[in-house]
This record gives sequence, structure tokens and C-alpha cells, in this order.
Amino acid sequence: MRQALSKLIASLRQRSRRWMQRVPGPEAQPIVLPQRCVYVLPTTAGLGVALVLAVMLLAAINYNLSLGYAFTFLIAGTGVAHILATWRNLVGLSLSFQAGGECFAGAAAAFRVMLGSANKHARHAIQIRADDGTQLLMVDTADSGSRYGQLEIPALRRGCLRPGRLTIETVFPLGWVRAWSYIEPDVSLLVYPQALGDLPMLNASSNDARGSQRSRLFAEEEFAGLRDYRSSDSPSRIAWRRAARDGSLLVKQFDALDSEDWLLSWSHLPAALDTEARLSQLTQWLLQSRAANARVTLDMPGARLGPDHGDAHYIACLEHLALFGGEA
Amino acid sequence: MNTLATPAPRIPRTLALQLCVQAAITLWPYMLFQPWYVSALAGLLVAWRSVLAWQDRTAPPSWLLVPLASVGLACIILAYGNPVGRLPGLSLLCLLLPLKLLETRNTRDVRAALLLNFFLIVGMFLHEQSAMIGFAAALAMIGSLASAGRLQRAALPIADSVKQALRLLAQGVPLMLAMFVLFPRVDGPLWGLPIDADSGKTGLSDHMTMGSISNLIPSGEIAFRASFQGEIPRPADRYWRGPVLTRFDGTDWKQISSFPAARPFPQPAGRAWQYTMTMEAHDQRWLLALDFPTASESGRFTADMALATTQPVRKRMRYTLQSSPDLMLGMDELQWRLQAATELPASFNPRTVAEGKQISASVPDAADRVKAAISFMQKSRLQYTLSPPSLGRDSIDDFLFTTRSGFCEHFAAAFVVLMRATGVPARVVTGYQGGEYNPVDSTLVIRQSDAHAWAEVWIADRGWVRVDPTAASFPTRIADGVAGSLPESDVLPMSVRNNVAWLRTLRYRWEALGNTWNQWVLGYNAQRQMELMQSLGIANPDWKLLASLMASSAGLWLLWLVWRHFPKRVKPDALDRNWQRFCRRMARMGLPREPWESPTDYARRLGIAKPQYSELFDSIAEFYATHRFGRTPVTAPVIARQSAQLNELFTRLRS
Repeated sequence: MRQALSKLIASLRQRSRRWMQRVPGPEAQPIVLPQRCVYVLPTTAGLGVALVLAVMLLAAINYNLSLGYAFTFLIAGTGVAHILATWRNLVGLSLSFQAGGECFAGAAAAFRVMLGSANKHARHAIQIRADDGTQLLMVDTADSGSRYGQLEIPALRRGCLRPGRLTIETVFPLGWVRAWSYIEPDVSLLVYPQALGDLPMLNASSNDARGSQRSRLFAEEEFAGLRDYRSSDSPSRIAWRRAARDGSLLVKQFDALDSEDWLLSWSHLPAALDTEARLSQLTQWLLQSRAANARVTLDMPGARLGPDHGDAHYIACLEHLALFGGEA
Repeated sequence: MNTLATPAPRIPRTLALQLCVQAAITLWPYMLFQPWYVSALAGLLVAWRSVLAWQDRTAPPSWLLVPLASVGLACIILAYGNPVGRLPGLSLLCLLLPLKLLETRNTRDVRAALLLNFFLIVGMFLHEQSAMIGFAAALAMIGSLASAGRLQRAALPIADSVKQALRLLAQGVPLMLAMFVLFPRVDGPLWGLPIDADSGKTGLSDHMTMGSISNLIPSGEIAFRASFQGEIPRPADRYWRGPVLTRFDGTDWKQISSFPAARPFPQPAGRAWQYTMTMEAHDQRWLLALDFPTASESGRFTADMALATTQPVRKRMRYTLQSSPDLMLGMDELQWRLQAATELPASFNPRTVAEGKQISASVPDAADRVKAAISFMQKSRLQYTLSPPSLGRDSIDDFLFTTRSGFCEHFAAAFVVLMRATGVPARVVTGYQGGEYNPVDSTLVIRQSDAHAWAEVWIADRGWVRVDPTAASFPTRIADGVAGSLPESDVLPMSVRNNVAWLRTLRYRWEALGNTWNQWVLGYNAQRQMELMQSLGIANPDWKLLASLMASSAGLWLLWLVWRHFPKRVKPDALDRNWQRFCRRMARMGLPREPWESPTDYARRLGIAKPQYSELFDSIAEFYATHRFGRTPVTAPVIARQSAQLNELFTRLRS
């Protein structure tokens, strides 16, 4: 008997949690907000209006103001219509999240979100808030088609970043009531370590670290073509003449003339550096190499990537650095 | 979009401007009743804020508001004497809104200003509730809601915000109508009304001096309206009986104690009129009735056969009446009342009294004495004028023998004094005579300019008989109203002179509208509610029934609203169905479309996976995208071509 009761309580608790949180854990995309998961409550402004209405009704009764009655009831009716309009503004909204471009710790991680309507209904002033209440996005959608927006979430640490629980809310049209729903999109972005440090790079063959070699890296190289600008590129490599001509931001790429390999080695870093500082230094080097399209070898405890060059290799190295020591 | 912290919610320029326009719309009706300098100050403040908003400058420093508010308070004290009360309170609110706008910096301030707006909209009704004011309030309401909408989304165009406000208000209208009709109305205030709530009402008073009625004539204000069931009385029968004045002290005519009639009412004989009166508030205790009222649902009859109420009429009042013009009134009048109706103040008006004595000596019969007195007055060549010369101590003597010009109260008073001198009981009756028939809503409209005084004499076998000495001397007064019998030089209100035909038609329509408004909107009170319920077949509506009716109609309305707002499933059309068929087929091959993928992106990905069909994928996706997002209508041939493409692909996949 007692067992049955505790079982019932447990199931009720689970049920209510599921009810508030929709689906436990990240949800499959696209997320369509169903009717029963959109909650509505009055805002402070709405409570203020209710108070004013009460005063107006009292005045209408006391002074027998027919128009006072009429307008009190009109505002009340409008308020109720507002509740439904606000609720309607969220129900059936579909959201698909996608990880944006590459992101390094300390910067903002971008997620692209596509807002659409499951039932051809224009929506206004949809806000997306983080769990701590900061507003991430405010968009309108037209009645057909979809709108793109971008959420930027601060990436504090390297590793896998999820936007976590987000609040989708709206107070449109009048701001007297607020409708909201919680979502937890199944999307993640790998945050690379912050690129920091100014130690010289090591030549793979000589294994000695001298400042002069670093300058050689950039001296003896040959123009190999143009590619799209990345946030980590040095301004000196941007093809400014091209940019002035048609506004496109391209970066000059060079092939290293000598077939020297650069060794980005964990074990050769000074012992005083802690794990994060080491990862930062390695990331810094990797970005420099990528800018020069140089051949690099990433030598980590338990793994050795390269020697190789090309985007796929750099990404693999960055991912390795991002996930180092974590779930690995 | 890329801010991580919530930005300070500063109000955008267009919203600030919109709020200023909004304030102007809300405040203009206040111009109608408050002193001009209060309105001017409010207008200046709004204009100042508009200029600041126009130049996109911030609100002035808050310390500046203190002297501004003090100036406003000084204006109000100058205008009303003290800042407490209904009118000063409204004026204070009226200044508060522009002051609030001046210090409006963020969205929170705007919300407070909008609440203030609501107060101002309803505050207006404390002063006036005409159809015009209602219209102005509705405009202000739409503006407020539009501003509230743009406060939420500044990017919303103003036209769209107004449309949004109208849509929301329209959805609220059914509830408003139901609640207006069904909300239990209470008679009388919940707490005391302020003393100045009913100031400045014009109308007849309960006593008469020379000139008190002619003072009313220049007012074109409506005194009351009457709507008849059936036949409308002829102009000569339209004597609306008000206070009956018997006691005369030489200058003033007063009622003798107006205790209620103790005897049963005289039985109505001959013709009878059924009609409904709508009295405007006049702050007195009497009601008006057509000569002679026989049955009334409100008020009580005085012994003088006038209608009176226990409470002053402070609100527009509606009552149903029955009158019989041929009634024999006062056949068994009490002796002391007849005595009071023959008393004259000693040593006043000696020449009139002498004239009366002379008549009584030569004419024995009371009815003949009346005729003799009338013919005496006709022979005196009296003038009928709105601006009679001032009279001395013996006012009746002066009128009859010296100035020979006066208004109806002079005629009535002189005749009554003359009759009393001959020994016939006589009294003055004040009220209204005539009324204008409004063909638009079939009512008689009686104005203050129809105010009149006449006389009643008591004759042994006929009771009290009405004698109108003004009509006897000037028959046109009754036939054509005041305007027909006065010289052109006398100043009359526009509504009394009837010589512009189209203007008259316009006025009829406007006043009919006003009457409907008064009857059904403003005059909708507990009594009206009861009548309406009874006409709907509910014999005894109590508040429980009203509450349940109210709840059920609100529930119905809510159902309608939910049905309106409930998300409707949008069925995919043929173009979408074909495209979904294609996507399903590709998914079966292990290549499902990702939700964020556009058709062309999807086709490219498919082409990489299955290069042999890439051309077909591209053409299917492009065809779908062009027709889905393009402007050309989706017709049957388009669908046929899309289906053909798909069939081609599917046959090739099968083989």
C-alpha cells in the first residue's frame, strides 16, 4: 500500500516536471511549441491595468456613469482578447537551431535559429531569453516563410557548448500578459580553447625553439590563392585591394616554401604552464600555422596528429584541443 | 540582436511623438469645461515634449518639474479656489499627464503614462457623457492601445499598431455589450457624492418673482422630452404643469405647504394621454406633467395636483404618466385652501384691487367676473416682451396701469390679483407651454425657452379652471410659441427661432440621436434594466439571475474568442503534397531532408550522394521553390508538370 502511494507520488512528480519542461533533456528539431506548453500570466503592467479597471468600475457604480461601465467592460474584454492573442503568438511557432561558425573560449558562441510557423500565422516580438533572463533575440515572423536570427551565448570554457534551457516569450500585443514556454534544443557547438601565448614555435626537425625561426616561417612562402576571412586571421593578410573593389573580405594564402614541419608539442612547453595555458598556446600556434597554411604536427599526450596541412587537418587539431582531457 | 546584456529600454523617437499626439487626443475634451489657462498650460507642456521628441532630445531634468507642477497647482487654485473636488481633481489629472510625459525616459514611464490615460478617459465622463465625448473617448482608447502595442515592438508601423488595437477592441465589444446590459445596476451612490456634483442646473424654481421666468427664455437647453403612445396633444393643450403658487406677499409667489393629496384621485373622464417623460436634472423636488395628471408611477401628487418627488432630481429621470385634459379638478376643494387663494397682502396694488372691487360690484357671477377681468386686460393694450421695464413696490399696479409691458408671469400674476380682488379664488401655475415635435424620433421636445406661467380660478360647479391671460391677450403665444409673439428685436436662442429650414432638420436629427443616446446609454439604470428583462420574459430579475446570465454570456464570448484564436491546421496544397512525397521517397533511401535545409541545398546534397540523378533533383527542387515562393499562381498545369517530374524520377529509381 505504502509502496503504491510512493510510486504514485513519484510518478506525479515526474509527470509535473515533464509537463513544465516539455521533454526531459534536449529536444529533437524542429521544435514546434504545442498548445499545452505555452503558459500565460499577467505582467506587472497587466496588474496595474486590472487595478485601474477596479477603480473605474467603482467610480462608474458610484456616479452611475453609463459610459464608465461601457469603457471598463471594453478594456476588460480587450484584456481577455489580449491573453488569447499573446498565447496565440507563441503556439505553433517552430524553431530550428544550428551551430554557427567556429568559436573560441572567451568569445560569443553563435547559434543560428530559424523561426517558422506551423500554421501560417504572423508573429510579433518573439523574445528568446537565456535561463538567467538575458535577452538573446527579439524577432518578428511573417505569416509564411521563415525568419533567421542569431543567438550569441558567451562561451566561457572550451568544450561542448549547448544553449541549455531557453525561454521563448512574448508580451505582444499590449504588454499586459506574458506568454512563455521552455525549450532545450538539441544543438551543440564545440568551443575551441582560447588562443593565447607568445612562445616561439618549434621546428619539427631541429626541435629547438628560436625566435628567428618564427619569422622565417612567414618570410619564405609563396602566394597560393585567396580564401574567406576568419576571425583569427591577421589583418595584414587581408586582400585589401580586393576588399576595396567589391567589399568581399578575403585572405591571401601562402604555401610554405620549405617542406619544414612545425611541431606543436605539449611536452615541449614550459613546465610552469598549466593545462589551459598549454592548450591556449597550442591553439595560438595552430591558428598561426593555418594562416600560413603550413604543415604542422600536433603532438599531444596519447595522440599525434599530422604532419599535414589543409582545413580538415586544422579542424581536427582544434577539435582535439577543445576536447582534451574532458570526456576523452 | 548581438547584445548579450539587456539594453536600457529607452523609448524611440516615433513612440515619444506618438505619445504626445495621444495625450492631445485624450486631453482635448477637457478644454470644453476647464478654464482656458489650465488647458493652455497642458497644451504648452505637450507641445514642448513634442518638440523635444522631434529633435530626439531627452526629457528635461527632473528638478524642472517641481516649478512646473507648482505653476499648474497655482492655476487650479486660481480657477477653482481649492485643489480638492471633482472639477479641480480632473484638471489636476489633466496636468499630470503632460508632466508625466515630460519626465518619460524609459518604458516603465510610458506604462505609467498609459494608465494615467485610462483614468483621464473615464474622468471625462464625470463631467459629461454625451455621444461626442463617448466618441472622443473611443478615439483616445484606440490611441492608447496602439501606443501600448508600439511600446512592445517599436518596429511595428503605426498603421499596423492601430489595426491591432482595433482588432483587440472589436473582440472586446461583445463582452462590453453583454456586461453593460446585464451588470446589476445600483440606484444611488455607494458613498456620498461631492457637493458640486450637480451645480449649475437651470430650470424653474419653486417660487416666482417678476422676471424669474423671462430669465429662462434665452436658454435653448432642453428641459424634458415626452414621447406619447398614440395621439399627440394639440399645441393649445400642451400645458406642462409645474409648481402651483398660491401665497403672495406683494413681491414673491410661493407654494402653500405641498403635502400629499390625501383623497382618492379624481376619476379620469373623457380623453386621456399615455406618455413617457424624460426630465433633465434640475435639482428641484417637482416633476412636470401635462394638465391634469391622473396616474403616475413615480413621484406623488400634491394637493395642488402637481407631481413632486422626495429627493431632488439630480440625474436625468424617466417616468410614465397618464393625463386627462377634461378632468374636473378640485370640485371638493378644502375651505382653508380656497381662503388662501383669495388672500391679498394688505396695502399693496390699491388700483388693481379697486378695479377688482368695481368688477365684483357690477358682475355677480364668478364665471362672468373672469371674462370681465380678461376683457379689462385686453382693453389695457398690454405689450408682450422679454425685457419688461422694472417695476416699483406695487408691481401689479405698475404693470397694468403704467408700464403696460411684461412677460407671461406679469400677465398671470396681474390676473390672479385682479381675480382675488373680485373675490374669486385664483392661483398662479408655473410650468412650460408648447413643445416642438421632432419627426425623427416622434417626441415632443420642451426647452427652457418654453417656460410659462398661467392662472387657475375656482368656480363653484367646475372646480379649478385654467385661464391663460397671456394667450387671451396674445393668442399667437400659444399657436406659434414664444418666437411668434415677441418683437424681432428681442434676443432669442437659435433653437427657438425657426426660420432656417435645413438647420431645423439638422437639429431635429441631432436631438433625436441625443435622445436615443440618453434613453439607452446614459439612462440605462436599474429601472431600465428591470424593464428590459421583463420585456424579454423574465418576470422577476434579481441579481442572482443577472449574475448567472452574465456568467453564461461571458462564457459564450470566451468560447467564441478561443475558437477564433485556436490554431487551425493548415492543410498542405497539392504543390506541398508532391514535394513531401519527394522528400519521403528520398528519406526511404536514407537521405532525409534536414528541417533547416532549403530545397536547392537539399537537392545539391542529394546530387552529391546520387550523382546520376543530380539533374533531376535540381530541376524538381528549383521547380518547387520557384512556384512556392514566387508570385505566379499555382495552377493545375503546374501541378501536372510537377507530378510528371516526380514520376520520371520514381520510374528511373525503380528500374
